[in-house]
Amino acid sequence: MSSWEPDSDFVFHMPTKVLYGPGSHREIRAEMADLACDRAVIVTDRGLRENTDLPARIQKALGATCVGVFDDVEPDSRFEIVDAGAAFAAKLGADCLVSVGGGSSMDTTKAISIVMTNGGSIREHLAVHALTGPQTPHIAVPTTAGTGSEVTNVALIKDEAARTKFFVLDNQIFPRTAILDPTLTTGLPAGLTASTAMDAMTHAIEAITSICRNSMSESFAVQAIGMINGAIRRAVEAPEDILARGTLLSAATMAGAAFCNAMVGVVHAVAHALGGVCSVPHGIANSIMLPHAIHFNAVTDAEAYAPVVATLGIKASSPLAAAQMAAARLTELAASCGLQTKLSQVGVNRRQFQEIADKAMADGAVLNNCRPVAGPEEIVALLDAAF
Amino acid sequence: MAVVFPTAEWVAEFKKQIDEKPDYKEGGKGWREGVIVLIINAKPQVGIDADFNIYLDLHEGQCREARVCSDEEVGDHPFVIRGEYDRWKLVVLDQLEPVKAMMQGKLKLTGDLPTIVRNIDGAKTLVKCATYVETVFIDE
Ligand SMILES: [Fe+2]
Repeated sequence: MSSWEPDSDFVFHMPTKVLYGPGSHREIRAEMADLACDRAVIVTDRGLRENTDLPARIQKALGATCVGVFDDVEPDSRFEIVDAGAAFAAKLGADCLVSVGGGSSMDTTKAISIVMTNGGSIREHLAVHALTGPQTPHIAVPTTAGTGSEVTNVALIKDEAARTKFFVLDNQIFPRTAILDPTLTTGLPAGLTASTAMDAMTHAIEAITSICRNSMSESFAVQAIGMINGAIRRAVEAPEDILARGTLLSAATMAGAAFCNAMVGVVHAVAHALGGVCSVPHGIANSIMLPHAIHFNAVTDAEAYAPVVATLGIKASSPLAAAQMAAARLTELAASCGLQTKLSQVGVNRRQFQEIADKAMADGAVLNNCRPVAGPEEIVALLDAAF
Repeated sequence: MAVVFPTAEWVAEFKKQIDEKPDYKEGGKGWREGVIVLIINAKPQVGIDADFNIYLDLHEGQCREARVCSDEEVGDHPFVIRGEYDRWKLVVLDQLEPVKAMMQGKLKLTGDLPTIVRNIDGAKTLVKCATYVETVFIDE
C-alpha cells in the first residue's frame, strides 16, 4: 500500500556512509583515515562526558588522533557555542570533527564545520544550500536512536534572545560517516529511549504523508515504523537488549534519511515551536502532537496514511477510520513506554498557545504538511486538542 | 511582443506584469523586507556570459523597482536566491515551485528561509506574473 504519487518529482540524497554494528565505534580511526584525516576533535556535551563513558570510549578508539574534546554543547545549541567550538577546533589544528551524542551534538558539529571552513560566525551562514564546497569532515556517532541527524543536511541552532531556532539546510553538511554502534545506546534512560524513538517514529510518519513524499523515502520510512513499533517497548523494558537497541538505532537512521528527502510536516512545526517557547523536549513534543496531527490531516488526506496503517497491522472500514485507529495506537504506544500524552503534563500553558501557533506557522515544515494549514487558529485548535 | 529571458527587456516586462495584474498585489502584501536579488548563474554555453542579477525591490504587494544589477550590489542585500539557468527556466515556466526548489537544493538561498516561507503566496504569485510574460528562452 503506497501513498506517493509517481507524477510528482523528487530528489533523494543520502551521501553519508553508514557503518553499523555492535562495537563498530572501534573502527572510527580507520574511517577517519579513509577521509584522509588524522586530527580529530570530539564534540559532545558535558553531561554525557561526566555521566557516561561514551565520549571516553570514542576518545580511546581514536587514540592519538584525538587532539581535543569540546564538551560545551547544550540542548539546542546557541550561536555562541558553535563559534566557540570552531575556535577551539581551529586552535588545535583539527582536520576532522567527531560528534558524540544526540541531535544537539550532531547539529552543533555541522555548524562548527561550516565556521571552520568558511570563517566568521555561524550567524553569517544561516542560509539554504548556499555553501559552495565540502566542509570540514564530520563523523557522527549517535548515542541516542531518534534524531536521524547523522544522515541529514540540516542543523538547528537556537538564538537565545529571539527564542527562535534557526537552521542551516545544505547538502554540504551531511556527515561524511555515521557510526551506528548499539552498544553506545544501552545506557540511555527509559524516558529518553522512548521519546527519541517517538521522534524517529514521527520522522517516518511525516515523511510518508508529506507533500514531498516519494517512493524511496517511503520505503525507508515504512521499514522504520515497523522496526520502531516492534522494538521500542523491549528497549525501554530491557535496556541492555542489543537487538532492540540496534533495531531502534538503525530505524532512526532510516527515518532520518526518509524525512531528509521528504521533509516533515505540522507535527515538527509545532514541536519546534514548543521547544522554542516552552522548552518541551523535541521527542516528547512530537509524541504528544503526532496523534492529533493524524486526526487533523486524515480529514482531508486519510489515504496518505495507508502505508502507516498497513505497517501497524490496522484493518478498518475506511481510510479515515484506519488513520484514526493508528492515532489511537500511537498514543497507547507512547503511554505504555511511560511518556506524557498531553501538553498540560509538560509545562505548557494555554496563554502560550498564540505564540506557539505563530512560530509554527513560520516554520518551513508546515508547508510540507499534506493538509494545508490555513492559519494559526488551526494550530491553536490542535494545541487545544493536545492539552 | 515576446522578450528574451534573461535580458533587461524581460525584467522590464516582468515588472509590468507585476504592476498590471492583480496576482502579486494580493499574494505579496505581507512582504515588507524589501529587496530580493535573483541570480542566474553564468552559462556561456547558452549565451549568459556573466551572472545575470535581477534586482527586485518589493513592498506590500508592489514592485518599487526591477532592474538588472551588478555583482557589487548583490552583496548588500539580505535575500539572494541563486540558481542555474535551467532551473530558473523551469521556474519561469511554472514547472518548478521555487520554495520547494530551495528546500531541495535546486535553488540556493542566502537569507532567512522562514521569512520566505511566511510569504509563500508572494513567491507563488511572482511566478504567476512571470508566466504572463511572453517569453522566448535564450537557449531556444
Ligand atoms: Fe524530529
